[in-house]
Amino acid sequence: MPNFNSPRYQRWYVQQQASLLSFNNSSGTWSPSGAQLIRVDANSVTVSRNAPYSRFPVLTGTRSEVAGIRGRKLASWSIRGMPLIPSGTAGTVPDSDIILQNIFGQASTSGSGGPYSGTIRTYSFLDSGYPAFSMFGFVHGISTLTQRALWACFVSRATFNFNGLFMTVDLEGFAGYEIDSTGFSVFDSQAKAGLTTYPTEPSSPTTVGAPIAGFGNGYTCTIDAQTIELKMRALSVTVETGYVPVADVYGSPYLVAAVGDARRISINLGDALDDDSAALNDIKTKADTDNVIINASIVAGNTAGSSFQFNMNNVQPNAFNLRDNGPTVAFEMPTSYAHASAPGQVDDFTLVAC
Amino acid sequence: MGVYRYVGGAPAELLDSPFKFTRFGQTVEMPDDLAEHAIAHRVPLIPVEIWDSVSVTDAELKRHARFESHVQASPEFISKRDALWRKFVDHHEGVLEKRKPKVSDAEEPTKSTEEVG
Repeated sequence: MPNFNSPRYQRWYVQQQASLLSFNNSSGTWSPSGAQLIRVDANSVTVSRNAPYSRFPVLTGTRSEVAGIRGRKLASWSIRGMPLIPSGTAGTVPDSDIILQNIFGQASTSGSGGPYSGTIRTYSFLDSGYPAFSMFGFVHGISTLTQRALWACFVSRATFNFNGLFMTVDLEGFAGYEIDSTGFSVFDSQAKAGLTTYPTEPSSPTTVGAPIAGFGNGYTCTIDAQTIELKMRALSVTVETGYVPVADVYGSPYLVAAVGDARRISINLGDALDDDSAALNDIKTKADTDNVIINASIVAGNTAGSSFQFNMNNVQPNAFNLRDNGPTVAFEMPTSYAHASAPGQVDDFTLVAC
Repeated sequence: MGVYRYVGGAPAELLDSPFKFTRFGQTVEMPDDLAEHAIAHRVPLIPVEIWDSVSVTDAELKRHARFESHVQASPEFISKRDALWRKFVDHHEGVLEKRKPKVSDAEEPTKSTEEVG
């Protein structure tokens, strides 16, 4: 009887790549240094290879087509509801650091401040940074089952979700390609991205930090200097990174580069309890006024070392809606975009591990 | 083998090993190479000598071994904990530096687009 696969057997790792088109390797053998286990839910990781055949619909005298040939190759991936887990130790980055670096284009910087006036790590944007990463899906302990690996992974969209059971982030992106252990020998050298042997799972992976709830005492949501965390029910922040794959050049069927288009950061107030408070009235008035900009800051977590702060600058508040919602009326201010403070700046959004 | 103290404000774990870190100040004896591996992956362990340089009292340790208790800890304890965190950050950076491949045994350069094409 064969071994049946199960999501419970999977361990997913991410590793920053030294070179865009190669897994980190030494003479074709994967170099696992720096590979980090990430904690993801069962059924949350989806990988899709996009390697369609090109039809060859020449006239043959019948209505049946003859076989075509393989076209270009790319892959897409997503992770739904990945817990955003702080490290637990202020001044150190979380396990998801490699993914966050990709979103922002560079490593976080060390500093001091934040809600606890302590050591913090701040992620901020860098236009010229393209820190691609690899993803590895190892089937723990059953090497005969198909293992998966993706190179040149980029995040296209990250949505940070507040007020759920856990603080989470939904991720989606693209990758150069996905290879697997079962068919490793038949992939061409570009697909194998520098490897000559299929990687084996790293030993003694680590996890640091504990998941935090998506809500709690000490959690704050401050918009235009108004504190509204006790009104918020549905709240999210989305980063569209603007990364675009270049996978249509003459000399290769694969991705050869990633370039950066415009990034956009938005805050979505999906459901706030409507009331006549001065705080909400301020936000309503700002949303009604043309060409207003405001700032927004959200803190998830209530302990030093186990919190994140999301800072959005120069937000143009979208027109709001009021919607009947059972026994309450919901105030909605959907998809309001943050912006740079001036041409040439990249200060629309920062994420602080604090 | 070396003796280390755990200074994290939340749990950490070395999977597939007996090492789980569930208490602030937890003492652990473990192989140095494994400790180095863990520290490189940001598991906040510090050698006992560094721990001793910050005078966390037995009473403080007893009171604040549970991470949740730090929320209501005294400023004196928080100051000591933060000092240990800063020492860990320095120690972590030192370990990363030590583990950087030397020029002589560095990995082969990864292949460029042209080479893999």
